[in-house]
Amino acid sequence: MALQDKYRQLITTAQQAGVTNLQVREQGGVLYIDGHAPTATIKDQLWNVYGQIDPNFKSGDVIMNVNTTVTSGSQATVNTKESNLNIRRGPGTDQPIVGKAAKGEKVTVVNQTNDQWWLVRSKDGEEGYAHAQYLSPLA
Amino acid sequence: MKKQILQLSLVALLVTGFSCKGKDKDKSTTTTTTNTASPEVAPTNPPAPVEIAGDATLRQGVTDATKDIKGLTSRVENGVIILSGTISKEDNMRITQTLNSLQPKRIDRTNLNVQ
Repeated sequence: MALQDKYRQLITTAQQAGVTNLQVREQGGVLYIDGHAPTATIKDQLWNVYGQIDPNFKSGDVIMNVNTTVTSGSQATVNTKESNLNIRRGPGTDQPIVGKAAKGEKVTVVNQTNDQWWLVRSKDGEEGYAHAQYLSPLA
Repeated sequence: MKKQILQLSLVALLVTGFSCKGKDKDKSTTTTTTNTASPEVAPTNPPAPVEIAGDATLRQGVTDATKDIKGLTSRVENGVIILSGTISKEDNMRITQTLNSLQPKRIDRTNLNVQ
């Protein structure tokens, strides 16, 4: 229960922010927090709270798998550091590149294949899979 | 007078009777409550164990997430993602969210510096 005390504020925030199917389990010295956030903003909020309790997530004593649903047809902004975002034929970095989207460009999310890869369409009409960690959904 | 005594004994009998009944009722209520509300006596419904992804799935996911992050080395062993090297705070936030979504057992950051 010690980890649940350490991360009490994170758990409370998840409960109050309306995270559904919330599961908090402590196993083998790791606190597992699973659930579904109603919006990407709430997911970001949870990560900020987690980062305040454990700066840079250094302790490695939490696995937080809280996902969120992106509506098909909605827009997302490319948030790469400086380079273009690769758009690939399939969901994997071993797949051939079929297009690119520039930093700051808006793409259309065709569907959310999984938590890591989304099927997107660029403004030039190129359609393929891009890694979700380089995309920020627009509310 | 006789009538009064009779009435008194009837009242006494009723009170005793009711109080005994009351006690029994209390007992049964308490037992029922304990059975339904206390998690200690419901071993048939424990929390499901945490699902951990297989190493092959984890390796693919870790490769996809860390491919473009310079200065970072990663490997996967028995469900644990082991990170080492030096990365920026921004990259750390980015990959940590992705790596957590892969359902590893743990992320070992002992030899990871975040600047």
